[in-house]
Amino acid sequence: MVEPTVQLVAAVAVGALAVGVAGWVKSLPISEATVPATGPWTVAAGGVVVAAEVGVYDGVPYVTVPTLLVSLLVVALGIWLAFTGIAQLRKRPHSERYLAASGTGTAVVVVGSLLFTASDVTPVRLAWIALAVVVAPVIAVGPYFVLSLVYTDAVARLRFAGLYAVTAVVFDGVASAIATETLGTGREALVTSGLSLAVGTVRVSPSGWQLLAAHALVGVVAVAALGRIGRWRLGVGYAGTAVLSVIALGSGTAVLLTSALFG
Amino acid sequence: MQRQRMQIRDSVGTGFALLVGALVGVVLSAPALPRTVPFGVTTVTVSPASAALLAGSFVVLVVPMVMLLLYLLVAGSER
Repeated sequence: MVEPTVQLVAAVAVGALAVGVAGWVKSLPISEATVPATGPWTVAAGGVVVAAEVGVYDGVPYVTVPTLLVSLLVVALGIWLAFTGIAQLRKRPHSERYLAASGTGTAVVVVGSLLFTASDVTPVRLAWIALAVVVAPVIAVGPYFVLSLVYTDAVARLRFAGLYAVTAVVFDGVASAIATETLGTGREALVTSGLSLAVGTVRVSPSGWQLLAAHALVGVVAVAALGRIGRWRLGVGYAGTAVLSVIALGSGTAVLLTSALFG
Repeated sequence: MQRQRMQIRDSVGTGFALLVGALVGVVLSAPALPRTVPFGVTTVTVSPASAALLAGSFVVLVVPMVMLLLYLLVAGSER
């Protein structure tokens, strides 16, 4: 298990690198719909990380969490590009459905196999997972609505992609709150780790549920900044939103699945 | 007619993407798949590769069936 601080620094570095590359590339095949379409692959990645942590891949050579994540990224991009190529042959530009569909297939099988192998799975623990999925968007809508009043330009540019990113950041917080406060595993997702470090410096120790407000604020501020970047080049704004949501949702998924299924 | 043809091709393409994704999932979950397969009145223990092959075959059979069923339901409700 890598230290949370190292994970946080790595996530920020990967995010900055991705946005930098996106700014360097002239045009990106990325749209508003691409951002939520990354969701199923992100859940699959979270599931694979959990499988690796509980020892499913023990004894399989060269399989580590970084190699698994890079392989998954390559496979997802490969499938997406192949299907996009076929869609363009038929002059059908909306290719995000293929990214979402292939990710859904992978996520269902990976998470399904985790449920099959899980030792501590009970209906109550499964209900906590369902609750996190429902609660996160409900909490995220309010702050995003306020952002639309305060900084309309950001919301007008990123639209549903921005809301999705805020939801992913809030999900990170909900997953961590369930893991630490309810299930008592002490695991925290990446954004929560960063917030805990930040509030720790001012000697405040709020509970996981109290930190949810900070998550919503972080999500909204990040989306506002990415919306500002989107004024310069919209593709970069979308790429940043996608990276933010992948990091937050992936980390939250891994924490929630580990805590709820394996204790 | 042209629009319907495009919609059918899109549905098939999406279903095929789902199938490919599910097969990727089977490969990723191969070490966690059950190794004992019921065979008549007894059970047979298979290797991890055979378990993955069986699960992959199951996915290849089931996903198109489900997609076809959904498509028939949607087409039926539109009519």
